[in-house]
Amino acid sequence: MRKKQQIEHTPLLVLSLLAGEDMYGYQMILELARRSNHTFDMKEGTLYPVLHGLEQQGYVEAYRQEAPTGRERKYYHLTRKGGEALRAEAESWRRYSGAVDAVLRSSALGTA
Amino acid sequence: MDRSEYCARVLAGLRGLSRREREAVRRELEDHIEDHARALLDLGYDEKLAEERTMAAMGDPAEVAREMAKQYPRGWNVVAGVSLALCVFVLFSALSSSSNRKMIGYAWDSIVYRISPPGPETVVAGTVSPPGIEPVSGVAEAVDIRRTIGDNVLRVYRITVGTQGSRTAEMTRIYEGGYQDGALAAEAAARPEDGQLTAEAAVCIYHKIPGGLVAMPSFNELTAESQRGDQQVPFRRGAVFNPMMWQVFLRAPVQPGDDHITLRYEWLRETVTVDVPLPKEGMP
Repeated sequence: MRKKQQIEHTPLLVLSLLAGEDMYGYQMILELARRSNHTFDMKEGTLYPVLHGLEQQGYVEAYRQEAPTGRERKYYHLTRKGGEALRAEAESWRRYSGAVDAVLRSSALGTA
Repeated sequence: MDRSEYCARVLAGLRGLSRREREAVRRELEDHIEDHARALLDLGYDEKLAEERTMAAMGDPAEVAREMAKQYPRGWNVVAGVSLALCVFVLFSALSSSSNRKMIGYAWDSIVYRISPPGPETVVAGTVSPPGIEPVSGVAEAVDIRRTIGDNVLRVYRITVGTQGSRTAEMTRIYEGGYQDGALAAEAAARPEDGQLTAEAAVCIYHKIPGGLVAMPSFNELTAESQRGDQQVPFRRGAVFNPMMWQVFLRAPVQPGDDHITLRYEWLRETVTVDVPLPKEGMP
């Protein structure tokens, strides 16, 4: 169940990473691990199906560019449509997590 | 498992993707593996361990392939591809035989005539009919009168009132020689007197369904007459005449004061008439 939850939320996390800057795949993995304090350590290969899915939906677009290290990489960029999807999904997630949190807090109070 | 085997296993599960898409996936995975392995080498890992750790971090290639394949649904593409191939085959087959090419021409004519039938001058100019057939020239008016006759549609799309050209010497020879058949004889018969005012209805007949065949026998008795009942020799010469579309000019003599001519045909053993009003502008 935990694994499933991670997969379902990966697109939202990826969109949120790209809201700041364009990134390539490995950079996203590192950044995700750093920002989540290694809570989201996904299998790295599964990032690409997510990225390609977002690209098919028009939420991100890709281009190849030379990275600061000198090697060429495929960068992903958040589109306007992706930005709108991110805002909507983030709001929905906040409502959901807020509700879960509220239930948990009330349970804790009840059992205290 | 090294990186090339890893990529090969992922690609093995992506048979539905195009070669270009597969190559893009392979390149992207190789870039990622290279990034990860280099990072480990920079941390002091030896090459073999760095490769092993990287492969472990990438995850199950079968799962990556399965998830990736979901992003490229190919069902409709396959259907579209098969349909396209079938269309090309049918078109190629159709064009490869001269009779089929003719049928396509017939169908095209039948479509043109139901959308925007050309005027009699255009029809006559573009046809290989014998010389001598020429439309009545005078006052013309577009009309759109349609009658359904069984599975066919009879459409009157233009009415012209004017005079016809004189009989040519060739027509006179044929007509006075007593030949009753042939286009020139018909045209000669349709020009009874020089200067006779004549109304000419441009009519086309086609099947209700584009590409359907016109049932010719229904129209064998299609004639035009004036409102006094004067009838010229039935002039049914079609400049365009094919199994899917029939173009005819129907003529009747008219006199000043007339306001319509009547088309007449037999259908289911009953006589059906269609009045075609003459141009509002009047006689020339």
